[in-house]
Amino acid sequence: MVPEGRRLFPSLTVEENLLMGTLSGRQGAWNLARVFKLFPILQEKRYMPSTSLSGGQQQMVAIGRALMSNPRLLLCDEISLGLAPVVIREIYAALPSIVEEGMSLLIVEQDVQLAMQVSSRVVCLQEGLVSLEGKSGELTRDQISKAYFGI
Amino acid sequence: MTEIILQGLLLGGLYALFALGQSLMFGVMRLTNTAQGDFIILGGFFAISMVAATGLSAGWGLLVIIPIAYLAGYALQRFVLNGTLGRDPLPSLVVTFGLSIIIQNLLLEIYSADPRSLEVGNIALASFSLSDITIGVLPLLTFGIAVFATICLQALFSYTSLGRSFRAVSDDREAAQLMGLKPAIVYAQATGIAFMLIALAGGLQAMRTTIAPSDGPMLLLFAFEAVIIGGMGSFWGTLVGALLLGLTQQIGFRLDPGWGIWFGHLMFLVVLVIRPQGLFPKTRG
Amino acid sequence: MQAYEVIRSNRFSKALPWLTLLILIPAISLPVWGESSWMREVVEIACYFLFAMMWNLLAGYGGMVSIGQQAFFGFGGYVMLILGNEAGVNPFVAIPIAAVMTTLIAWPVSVLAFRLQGGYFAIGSWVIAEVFRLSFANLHWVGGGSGTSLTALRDIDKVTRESITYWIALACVVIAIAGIYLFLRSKRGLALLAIRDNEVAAASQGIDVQRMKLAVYLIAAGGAGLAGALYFVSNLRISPDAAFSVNWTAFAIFMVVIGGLGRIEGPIVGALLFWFLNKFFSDYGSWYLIGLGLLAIVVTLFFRDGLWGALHRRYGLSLFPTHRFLKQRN
Repeated sequence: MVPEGRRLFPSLTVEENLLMGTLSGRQGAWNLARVFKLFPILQEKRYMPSTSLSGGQQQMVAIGRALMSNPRLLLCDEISLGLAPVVIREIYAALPSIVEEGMSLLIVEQDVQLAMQVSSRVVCLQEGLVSLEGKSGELTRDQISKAYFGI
Repeated sequence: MTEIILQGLLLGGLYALFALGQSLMFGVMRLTNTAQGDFIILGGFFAISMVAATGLSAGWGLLVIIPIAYLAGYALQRFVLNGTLGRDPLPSLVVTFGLSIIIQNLLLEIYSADPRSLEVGNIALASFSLSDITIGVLPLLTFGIAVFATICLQALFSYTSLGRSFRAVSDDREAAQLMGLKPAIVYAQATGIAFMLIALAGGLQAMRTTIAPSDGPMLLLFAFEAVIIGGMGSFWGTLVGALLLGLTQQIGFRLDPGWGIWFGHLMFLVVLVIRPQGLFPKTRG
Repeated sequence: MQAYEVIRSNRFSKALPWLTLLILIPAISLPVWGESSWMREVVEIACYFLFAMMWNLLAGYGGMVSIGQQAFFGFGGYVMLILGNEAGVNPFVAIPIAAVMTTLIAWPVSVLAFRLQGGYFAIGSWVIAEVFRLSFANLHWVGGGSGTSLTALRDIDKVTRESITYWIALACVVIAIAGIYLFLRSKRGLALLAIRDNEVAAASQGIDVQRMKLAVYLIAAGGAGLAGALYFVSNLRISPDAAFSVNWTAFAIFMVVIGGLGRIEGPIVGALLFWFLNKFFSDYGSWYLIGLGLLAIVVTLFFRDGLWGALHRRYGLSLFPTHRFLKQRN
C-alpha cells in the first residue's frame, strides 16, 4: 500500500525505505534494480535521507517501497496530494509499466479526469456507498457530476 | 592533572555503559526507564549470586548472564512495558518507578543492606604505568568495553535490518506495521539488547566497587545526565556525555570529596541552560 | 432550535455541602476531645495529601510529570526552620512565608526544568531535587548532612503547639481543596483543561500556554513548600535525606495514580487508602513497599483512571464536578 501522505521513515535513507518494503518476504518481479529503472532519480539519491527529497520524489519512494513487497494488488491512496501538476503527470506516466505484468492497481484519487485517464474501471463512492461504477472509457463527465453533485 | 583527566575518562566509560541502554530504549520507543539504575544493581547482585553458586569466575559469569538478561528484558517489555507505551509519559514512568521500588526492596530483603562486590581476583587491583601515570587494568577494560559497545550499537542501527526496524518503528509506528513489522516484538528486542548492556554494567560496577540495594537511583541520574549532555538520539553522543560527566565528577572529587557528584549535577544543569539539545543531537529528517 | 443550558452539578455533588459540614464539625473540634497522637497522625496525612494534591495539579492538570517535587517540599521545610531558628520568626507564621519563598525559587528552577519534556522532564526534576539535597547537606549551619532541630517552638507547651499545628493543617487542606476546585471551575481552569487535552488547539484559541504552565508549576511548588513547612513544624526535626527524599514523590504518585489522576477526588481517595494501608501494613517494611509498588503497577496497567476514575465511569460518581454538560431545556 502507498499510504496517504506517503509516510516515509525520516530516519532512513531512500534505499533503506525501499528495503523496508521487502519485509513481507514475497518473491516477484520487483527489486531494487527494477525500482531504480522505473524511477531513475531515486538511484541518484539512494543514500540521502528520504525526507530531504522533493514531494514528487518522495511519492516515488513511497510507490517503490510498496512495489518492493511484490503485491498482487497495489493500493494507492491519494498519490497526487500536494504535488505540482507536472510532477503528477510524471508519476502517473510510470503507472502503466506497473500493471503490465499482471499487478492490479487500486487508486484513490480526487482528480476525476486523471483517474479516468489511467484506469480501466471507475467506482464513485459517496459516504461509503457506491454511487456509480463502470468502464472508464464509457462514463462521461456528466454522469460523474450527477453521481457526486446530483446535477 | 593528566591522571585526573584519565581517571575521569575511564570512569566515564562505565557511565556510558549505564547510559547506552537508556539511550536505546528512549530512542526506539520514547520510554523513560526510571528503574534503569535499579536494574543495573539487580544485574550486579545476580552476577554475585551466580558466581557464588556456580563457582565460575567473574568474567565467565558475566558472559553467561548476558543472554539471560536479553530474555529478561524481552519478556519485561513484551508483557509489562508494552502496555504503557503511548502519547502519555505517565504510565511508563509510574510502572518503571514501581519496578524501581520493588527491585530495591526485594534486594534489601534478599541480600540485606550490606554492600557486596564481585570478586575478580587480581584484575581489580592490577594496574600498569605509563610514564608516571598509573592506569588501572579494570577501568581500562571497562572503557574499552564501553567504546566497543557504542561501536556495535551504532553499527547495529545503521547497517542491519534490525537497526532499520528500530528506526522505522520509532519514526512511524503505523507505517512500520504497514510494512509488516510487529512493533510489540521490535520494542521487546530493543529492551532485550538494552538489558544486555545493563547486566554488563552491573557486573562491572560490582567488580569496580561495592554495590548496595539502594544504589540504583544514583546510577539512573548518572545515566540520564550522560544522555542529556551528549544529546539524545546519538550513541556516540551518549558516550561523549558519559565521558564528560566522569571527568567533571573526578575533578570535583579532587577538589573536595563531598562535591564530586554535585559538580556533575552542576555541569548537567549548565549544559541544560546553554545547550539543551545536548552536544551532539541527532535531528530527524 | 432548542435551548440548552450548561449544568455542572449532579445528584452526588449536591450532597457535597452537607458532607463537608458532617466532616468539618468533628474535625475542627478534635483537639478538644481527641488524643494528641490522633492530631499528629492527621497532620502527617494532611501533609502527604497536600503534597499529592500539588503533584496531581502539576501532572494531572498541567501535564507535567515530575519526580522532583520533593525539592520544594524540603525547601519549604528548611526555609521555615531557618526563619524560626535564625530569624526569630514564629514558626507558625513562617509556614506561609516559606510557601511564598518556595514559589519564588521555583521561578528560576522552572527555567531549567522547562528545557526538558515528558519523561526527561521527570528525571531532570529529580536531578534538581538532588542538587537541592546536596546543597543543603553541605550547609553546616543548618546541621549539614545529619540535620537539625526546630528550637523556636520550645517555649510553647505541647498541647497548644499540637492543636495549633493541627488547625493550620486542617485549614491548609480545606483551602487547598476549595482553591483548586474553584480554580478548575473558573475560566482559567477551563483553559488549563484545554491545554492538557491539546496544547496546539488551546494555543490557537488564544490561550497563553507557556504562562499557564508556569503558573501551574509555581502554584504546585508553593503548595509543596507549604506541605513541607507544615510537616517539619509538626516533626520538629529536619534532615536533608528526610526533607528531599524521593519517597515523598513516590507516595504522592501512589496516592494520585491509585486514587485517580486528574480528578480532585482521586488524591482524597488515594490518601485515605494510603493512610489505611500504612496503618496496618507498614510494619512489614520492605514487603509493604513491594506491595505498594505492585499495586501501583497493576492499577496503571489495568485501571488507567485509578479507583475513583473507575467509579466515575461506572456510576457517574462525582463529588467535585468540573465538567460541563449540555442539558436541553424543556
